[in-house]
Amino acid sequence: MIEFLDMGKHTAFVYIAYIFSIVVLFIGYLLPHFSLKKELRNKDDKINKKK
Amino acid sequence: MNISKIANLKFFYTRTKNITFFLSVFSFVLFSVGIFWGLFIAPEDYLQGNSYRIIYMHVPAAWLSLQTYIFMAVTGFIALVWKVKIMEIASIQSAPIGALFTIIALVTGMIWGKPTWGTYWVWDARLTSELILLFLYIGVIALYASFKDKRQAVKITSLLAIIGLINIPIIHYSVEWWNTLHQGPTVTKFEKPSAHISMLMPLLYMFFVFNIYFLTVIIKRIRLGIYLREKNSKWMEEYRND
Repeated sequence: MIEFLDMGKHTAFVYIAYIFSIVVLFIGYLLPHFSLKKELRNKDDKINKKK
Repeated sequence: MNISKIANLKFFYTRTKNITFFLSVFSFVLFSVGIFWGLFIAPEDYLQGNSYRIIYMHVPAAWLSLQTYIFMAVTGFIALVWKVKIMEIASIQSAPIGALFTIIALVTGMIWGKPTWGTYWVWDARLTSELILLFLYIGVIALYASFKDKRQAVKITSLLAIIGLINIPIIHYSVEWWNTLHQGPTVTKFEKPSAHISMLMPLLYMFFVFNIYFLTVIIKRIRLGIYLREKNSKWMEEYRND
């Protein structure tokens, strides 16, 4: 398994670049997702308080 | 289905909920395949070894950083001229996505630069113009945030985006116009690309995947933008109560 994942002397560079990209892309996806959920929850809380 | 119907905020918001779910799953599967292809199936480069595999993230991100900017400027132009609400939202909501693509392009480029050039950063034309692109995105986001009246804000950010378009050909042709450490065009020489087909295919595939990702996130962000603008409207309350 380790041999399969091995990228020679550039292993660290390759994986850091990939992990960084995946994390950033994931954040880019999750931000609007949770922002909308938060806004919807805030609106519901306001309506419930009025009641 | 005509364009004016899609441009209707209510229509877009209510009809795209399920589409984003399917696009998200689709993006995830495509990305998984692309990452495996780039890391383990594409052959090793005879000169650069395995470090060249970083291009499967770097190049599509760099292309998308330009493409997203053009999208932002064009939608901004339409919003300015024809006052189409959904275009105002699309223009401003594309800025954070473009900034993320630019950050990925810059950082992965730096990581690739160290083993290849021996340095993380040089102030050559391509790297510097790409950094200016990031500042343009940040400028658009900051300018929008500084206005209370968001419709007025979009007018100003659209103008900035249109003026900033001048940077796009500078980025693209910088490697031809100036003597740069960054390599010249590899893929866009369509008549004879420098890369072998076994290395080129995963690159074009990843470009397609990044486009699907962009489509997924821009729809999600437009929905967020519509909600923020219309949360107190009658149709939104009716839709939420259903």
